[in-house]
Amino acid sequence: MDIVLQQLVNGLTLGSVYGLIAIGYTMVYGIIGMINFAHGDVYMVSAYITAIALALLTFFGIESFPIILVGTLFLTVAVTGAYGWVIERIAYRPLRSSSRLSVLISAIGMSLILQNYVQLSQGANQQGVPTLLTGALRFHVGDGFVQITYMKLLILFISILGMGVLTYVIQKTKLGRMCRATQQDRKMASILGIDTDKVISTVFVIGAVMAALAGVLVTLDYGAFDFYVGFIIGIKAFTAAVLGGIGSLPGAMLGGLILGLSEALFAGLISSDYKDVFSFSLLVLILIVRPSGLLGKPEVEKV
Amino acid sequence: MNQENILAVENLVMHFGGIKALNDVTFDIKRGSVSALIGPNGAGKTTVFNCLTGFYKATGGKILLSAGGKETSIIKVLGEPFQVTDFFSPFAFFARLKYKMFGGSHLVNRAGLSRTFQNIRLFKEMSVVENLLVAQHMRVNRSLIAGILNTKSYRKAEEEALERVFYWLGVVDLVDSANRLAGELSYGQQRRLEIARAMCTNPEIVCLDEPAAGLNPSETEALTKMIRVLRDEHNTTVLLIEHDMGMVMDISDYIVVLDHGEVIAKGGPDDIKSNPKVIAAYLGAEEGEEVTL
Repeated sequence: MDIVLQQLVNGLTLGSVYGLIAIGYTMVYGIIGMINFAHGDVYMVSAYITAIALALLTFFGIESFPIILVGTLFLTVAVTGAYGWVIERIAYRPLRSSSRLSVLISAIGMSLILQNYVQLSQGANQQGVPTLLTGALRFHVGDGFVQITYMKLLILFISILGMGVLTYVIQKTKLGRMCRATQQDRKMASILGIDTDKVISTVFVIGAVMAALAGVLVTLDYGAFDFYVGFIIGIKAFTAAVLGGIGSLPGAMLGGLILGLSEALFAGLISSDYKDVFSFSLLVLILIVRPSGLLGKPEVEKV
Repeated sequence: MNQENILAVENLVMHFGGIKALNDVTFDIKRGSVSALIGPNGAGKTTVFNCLTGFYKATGGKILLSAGGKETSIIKVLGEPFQVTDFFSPFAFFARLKYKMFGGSHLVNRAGLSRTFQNIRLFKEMSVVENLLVAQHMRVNRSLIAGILNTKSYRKAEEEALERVFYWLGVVDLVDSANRLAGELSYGQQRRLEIARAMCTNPEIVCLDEPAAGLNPSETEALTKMIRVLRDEHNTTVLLIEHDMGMVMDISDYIVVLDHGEVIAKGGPDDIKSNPKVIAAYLGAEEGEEVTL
């Protein structure tokens, strides 16, 4: 019983991290129909920026945890957002009118460039940051107990906040309306005077910002990272996006949560070695039953 | 360009590979008029529209739009390739670089021209109100922070935008459907909504591509009235492509006839009706053969 509850808590935090990263995949797919393979590496870059920001803040003698957290979040989000913008500008926008395949290749190239550039500039060794927030809540359940570290609570809180703000922006504000209009008919949006290139840039920045939130939180929680850390988490987040229905924002969050929860439960109850096998099998199963994903709209062939 | 004309098209050429869709098209549209572009199928009417609205980048010629107190060259704002002379004049170089980097069809709309499509292109997954709000994005508060914090000025701007939305819904008689999804509306309603959306961008000239296609006679009559309202009450110039000759002759002040990518006649409805070239183009007469309607 306590293991199930413990794994549910772990799965929830893991799932919200997947959800945050999946947002970047799903929004970019929704707006320009490409899969941004460099997104996982944007997450990886944000982990390094987190470490640099932490070092900077400690260098200036700041020791209180809330200020460090807010400062790190702010710096990382800003710098990673700039990365997202630059990547779109140099790797995707020049290929806007060419076939989808060339953009895909360009994305893979961008992913390799980011990995190697970080490896060259930061070294190939695993890096680490100190644990800043310790302590945990403990609930006694039967004989055992369920432990929720404060860091996990923080992950949950910030992810939910991030997703909530984003949902509000997309549903209610003018920027969101412009994003949705561009997603449905880019050419028409442009004819109504919307600068669609700018909207697409904004979507890339939003994706990178969400990945940066995940990057800061996971780095502060796990403490260790290397230049290759973006690959597996990127694939998982992509799986989450496809699971929820790629192109759908609530789908990405839902897919992330389902993937995280089922992975954690499988790891805790059956085997932690085969958890990746399990999550990808889940994807296969869901795609067999619902090819467009859980919340995705099936594409109707117009006659 | 003389101030009386809102739009001047000079020697417009559009080639698709080896196909010459438009060959030297020249016409002017007077400010505040209702003008029609007619011609047999495949004459190049929609191609002219696509060039005017920045949907296509014309191969050659000039399109000058005089709206909002300034003159805009539509081909230039879409971004042109560099010319040799640009490298000697920094000013021309930067102007071209600016439009190459930031230009695009959105600037055509911002200059004061909007359009509708022959095959309706609404945002089908958005509500009727949202379709009209999107079109007003240049007028409402653009700050994202203000949007998230829902500041007073932001709310006020949104309210004004909503007022305009309901004004236009009233004009096109869609107030009852305000909260339905655009894709759920009937064909005639979608056509009217598209016109309302084009008007919400606050254009000085609106281009309607076959607005009466697929409408029944009473809907066509309502549309005719609406087009008169656009011209008389909103000072908007209307340029339309239409196959319904009864309607065209009824509302147009000026008609341009295209055939095989060339202008074969221009003038008032009465001149056009009796023009032998036009009759020949429509009835497919041999060269030199006399045809009367």
